[in-house]
Amino acid sequence: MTESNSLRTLAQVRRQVVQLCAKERFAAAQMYLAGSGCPPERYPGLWEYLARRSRVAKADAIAHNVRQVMWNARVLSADLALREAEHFLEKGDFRNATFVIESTFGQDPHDRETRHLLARCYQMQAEAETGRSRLRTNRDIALRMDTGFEATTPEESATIVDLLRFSGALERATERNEEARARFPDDPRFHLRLARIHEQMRNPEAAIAIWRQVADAGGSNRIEALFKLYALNEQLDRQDQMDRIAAELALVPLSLPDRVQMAIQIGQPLIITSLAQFAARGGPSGTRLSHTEGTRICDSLLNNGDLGLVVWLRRQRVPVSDAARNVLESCGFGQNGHRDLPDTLAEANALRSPDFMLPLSKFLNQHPKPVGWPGTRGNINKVLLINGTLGGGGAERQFVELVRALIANGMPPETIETGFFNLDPDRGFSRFLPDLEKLGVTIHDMHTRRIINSNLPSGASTVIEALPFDLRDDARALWHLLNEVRPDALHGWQDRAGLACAIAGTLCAVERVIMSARNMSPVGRADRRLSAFRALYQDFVDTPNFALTANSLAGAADYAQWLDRPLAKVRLLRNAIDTEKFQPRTNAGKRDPHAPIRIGGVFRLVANKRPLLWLETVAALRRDHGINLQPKLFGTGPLRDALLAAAQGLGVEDLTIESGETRAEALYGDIDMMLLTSRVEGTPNVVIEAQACGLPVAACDVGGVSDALHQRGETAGLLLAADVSAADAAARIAAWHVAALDSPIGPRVSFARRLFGADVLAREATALYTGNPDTKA
Amino acid sequence: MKGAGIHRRLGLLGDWTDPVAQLLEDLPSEQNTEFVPLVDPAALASDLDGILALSQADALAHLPALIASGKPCRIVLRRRGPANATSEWHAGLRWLVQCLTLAEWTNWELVALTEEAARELSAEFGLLVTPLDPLTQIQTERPRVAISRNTDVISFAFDTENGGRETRRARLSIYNWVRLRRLAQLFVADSDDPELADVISFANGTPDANLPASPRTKRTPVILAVVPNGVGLGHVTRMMGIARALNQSQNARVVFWSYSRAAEILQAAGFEVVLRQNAVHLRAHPPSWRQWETLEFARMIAHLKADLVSYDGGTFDNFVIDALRMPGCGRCGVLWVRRGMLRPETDAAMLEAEQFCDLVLEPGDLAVEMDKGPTRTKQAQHKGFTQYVNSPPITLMPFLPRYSRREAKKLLQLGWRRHCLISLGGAFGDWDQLKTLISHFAAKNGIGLIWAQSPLAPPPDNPDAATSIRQFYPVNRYLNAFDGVISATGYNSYHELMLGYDGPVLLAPTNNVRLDDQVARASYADAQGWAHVVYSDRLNEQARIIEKFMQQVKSDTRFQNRPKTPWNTDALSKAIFDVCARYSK
Repeated sequence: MTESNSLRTLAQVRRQVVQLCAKERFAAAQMYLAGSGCPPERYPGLWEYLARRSRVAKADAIAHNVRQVMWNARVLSADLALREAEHFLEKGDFRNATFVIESTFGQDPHDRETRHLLARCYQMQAEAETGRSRLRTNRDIALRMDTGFEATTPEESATIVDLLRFSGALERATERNEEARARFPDDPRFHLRLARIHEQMRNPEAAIAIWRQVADAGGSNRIEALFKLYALNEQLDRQDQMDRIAAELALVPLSLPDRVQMAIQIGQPLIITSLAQFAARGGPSGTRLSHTEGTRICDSLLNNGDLGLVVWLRRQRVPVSDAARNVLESCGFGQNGHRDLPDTLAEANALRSPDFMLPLSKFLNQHPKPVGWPGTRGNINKVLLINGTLGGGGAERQFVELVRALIANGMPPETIETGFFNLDPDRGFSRFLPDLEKLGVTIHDMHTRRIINSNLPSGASTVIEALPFDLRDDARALWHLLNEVRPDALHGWQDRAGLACAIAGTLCAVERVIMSARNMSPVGRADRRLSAFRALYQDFVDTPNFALTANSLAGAADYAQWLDRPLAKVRLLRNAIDTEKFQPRTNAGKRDPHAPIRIGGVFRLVANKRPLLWLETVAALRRDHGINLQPKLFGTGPLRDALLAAAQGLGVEDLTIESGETRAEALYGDIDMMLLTSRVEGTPNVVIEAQACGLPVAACDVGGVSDALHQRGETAGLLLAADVSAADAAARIAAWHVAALDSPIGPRVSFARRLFGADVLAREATALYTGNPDTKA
Repeated sequence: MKGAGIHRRLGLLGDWTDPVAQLLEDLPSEQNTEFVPLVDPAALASDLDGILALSQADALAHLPALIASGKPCRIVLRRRGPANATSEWHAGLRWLVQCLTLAEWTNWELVALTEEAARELSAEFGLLVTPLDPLTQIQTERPRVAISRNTDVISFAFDTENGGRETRRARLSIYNWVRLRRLAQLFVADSDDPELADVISFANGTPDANLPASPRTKRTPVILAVVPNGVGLGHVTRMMGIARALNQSQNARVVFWSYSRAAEILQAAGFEVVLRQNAVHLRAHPPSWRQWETLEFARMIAHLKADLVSYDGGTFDNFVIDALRMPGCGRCGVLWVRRGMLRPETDAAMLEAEQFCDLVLEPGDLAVEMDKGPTRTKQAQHKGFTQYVNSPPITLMPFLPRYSRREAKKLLQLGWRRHCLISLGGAFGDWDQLKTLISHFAAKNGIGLIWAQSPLAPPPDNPDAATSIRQFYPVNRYLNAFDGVISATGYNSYHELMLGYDGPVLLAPTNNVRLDDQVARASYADAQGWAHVVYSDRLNEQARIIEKFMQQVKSDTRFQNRPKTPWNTDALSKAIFDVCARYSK
């Protein structure tokens, strides 16, 4: 063909394609083009024209087809590549979308639109990989996408904020969100996102303020706002607020799935049952629930451990999700399953997770172990210590003390590994991380840890997927870690970690599993979520190679009574204090008798600690007994402002509250005596620490206070009744304080060091790990 | 629409089988109330006069709908039970109180089961809680039964007539508490269960002479007879016999709830019939059908104010028991008409249904000596409160006089030659051989064969021109038309022939494993010389026996040695009416 002929042909083809496109005959145009001898490699313009026109005319299939042809010929322009990625994303195919963008623009595209599209891909990928867990995005990717990205639309801003906040980069997410709020002041989404970020960052007051506005404004977000308000006030133990919000929720015409969620969140099993029955009878329409309604209800119930109700609802032909169906089938509750199905609602109610899987070893068909297994070890090769976080609590501090004690007593740091469910710094979960890092042990953050193969073997998957939501996530993360570390002993610190260890430890057949309960039993502290796991605790203590410990005799007795087991089934593993840090005060016994008595308190300002009783006692000491006092509190918490206001009314205007202080000399160096008026306590570290510093202590007899308080001779501390009134407490302190202040500090210090020394803790812990009480760490 | 005698329709919100929902029926003030099981308070409200939420949980679950219904609502406040931790129970009630305070709703009333509970709840939550009216205490002597939530099995002991002491067991969950409180004095077994204590205290009632009793208006007993979809007409015929006896004795009203196609027969006999379809008929999902049937059957019990539900069959369908647990169905006894002669290999678990009953009636069987089935050789683990009555064999003969030979021949359009009736079951070893032999020897002896067609069966597709078929019921009335009978050995045929017919009889027991032990029954008649028997597994002797039988038919042989058991229904009727009387007070 000559050049002129070629041009003529090209013009003819172009004319024909244009005409066909004008008539929106895109399929004909594509066929014509394909047969015209004008391949995309040589004539990309014609193909691009067709791709653009067909897309504008919403002939998406043709447009995609043409782009595919161009992609295969490697002539797809950047703009069309973006359209192709968009197409994939609209279809939910984030993998292909990511591939197209990253292949064309790299992993760090500069174009704003491309960057936004890629961010959406990553977000969608995280959602897809989340499955039945909490949504998590990759922090590195989120920060990379954030860098240099200038969001100009609300959608772009929302995407980047979400990518950041789900990755745990909360400070940056807050900044991004504030930018968006400033730029799009009328867009309510950023208001709601701010509330959610506050929740994540443990600023409940700020979150409450926003959600309250949303709830009061009405509209479509009101119900979510009420749920959030309830949860946040529950965190703050504000019963009156919880009652009021619960009433608001109950009076709102919620959908049936929302009503079920309401009953679950408020913790009313009888209402859950009533609503399940309602669902089985067809729900509000009296006919049959929609697929969406049915699956939402069943998923909520499954997340709450109400597996029997889900089985029963399925038998009543209520739709269940694929995930729920898989759980039921794998647990033997399917149509041809080997388990008896509940015939009545009462039977269904009794079938709860994880209880129906207990004893877990039997459920898993594990070979019975011979009596005495696994015997005793002379030393330990690897111990894995697990806790929820390294936030700024007493239990977290004790966790670090345990590691320190073990190392100090001869256990090499390389034999100790530690794991945490979350160490997000932005959420305050890594407060003691530097202290732990200094000890040289391996630290695993299960929240950010990359798991190469996230699949679980069938036995583990069956058990884990059937667990209630919180325990499911923890057990899954821990299972993966256990398979990597393969410890001889697994030690769960506090109840949440301990329960996950019970499940994962059994699944991985760990030789020894220890659950160290840090407080009174769940029922004693009205923790309904943990109380629901009573049977799992019982299974734990009944397993010969597992050990439950409490840190006080009172705690052990409380657990034993709750679990209906002998006291000997709960071992004692007392707290330890850092005796290097908490040294006896050098100025002890040198108090100026004319100077005011500096009375101190070290506790979180929350309802359980009864700060108002503390304040009223101080006021009564001053008012009724004429004692010259200087009150000082160390602590933070939601009741701080209320307490300061109350101090004004009680004539204790000179009360000072210091927050964030952890240094021993600051906490105990400038006070003469300590008062603790908690309603609930485990083993209060502050009581031990204060005594180790030589201070006399007065405290209410709750939890492990009695164990922690020196009570012999003239140097004894003062044990107040658990339900003491401020007047009575003041009267007893008035009668006790002079002798206590003037007595020698030695017996107190000795008491604290003898019972709560690091060597004692290390010895006892090592004995638990090896099964040999004589083993030295 | 309210039914006759119904003054009020009360919607019940919650678990319809909750004892409290059941016990409302016994309140003197609710005697003319229809209890409507409520699914969605908003949906049915216009047909109701009021709503009663059976617990604070039920009220909270449906609060917006209750308010939207606009109907007066009573909420029964429960004290703490084991399903609730104390903190949860407190939280639930606090929640309700908050809601009632916040809501712009005044049409509610809080009630408790006992005065003590009302006092305690009022004091604790600062709202007026009034006690429900108390029930009248049942005065009859009855065993004491401990109720515990830890087990569904109740056990009790009582003195027997022969001076001994018998211990019985039953499942608690099968009872309507209106019925239960008439059968037993209840007491609480768990010390820390105030809610259960309240329910039991409410159920036991108050011994206050000033309280009005709640007897039913004097009327003839009403019996609802459930007829399952059996293989033959046995269940229908037997139940019709009992119904006739009760009609005669106290003019009882018997209504049939029938799945059998024999409904036409029942209707033709003058009985009221409710024709039902089972799940197989409807091709329905069985659990859904059962739920539907439960509600329908319960409505019928409540509508009729039935004193007794009778069931003639091997095993109770759950819908009967479930319906009896519905509100408004508690004042109703249960009769199980259960014939013996089950096959020895029959699972004895079927006996466990005895616990549902007030009375197990075993119709007499002439061949009882041969009975090796579980009703004779085994005992139920759970007998409940049931009493046992054995009656003479039950047939329709006393109530339907037999036609004379002339009348019968005329009605069946038979000539005056000798005729042999053949009424065989569907299952017999080599059916073709039997039929061939019968036809052969009948022809040889000049005997006409009349094949009886079941009223339940459709006409044969291609009847042989030489085959005479007649469809008539009951056979007994027409027996004078025949000079001999060849029959299967079901309960009715057997007893009608042995007790009321003196011509030659040839029994051909069926070997259908679903049926009773017909071989044993037939062999007993054989041993007594009452009839000839052909056995499906003895092929060699069939020709000889049939030939001998046909010769006896031809020679008009009469059998005078058959038994003459008197038909006396007094004991039977008295036992049934005693049960009815238990629930009419």
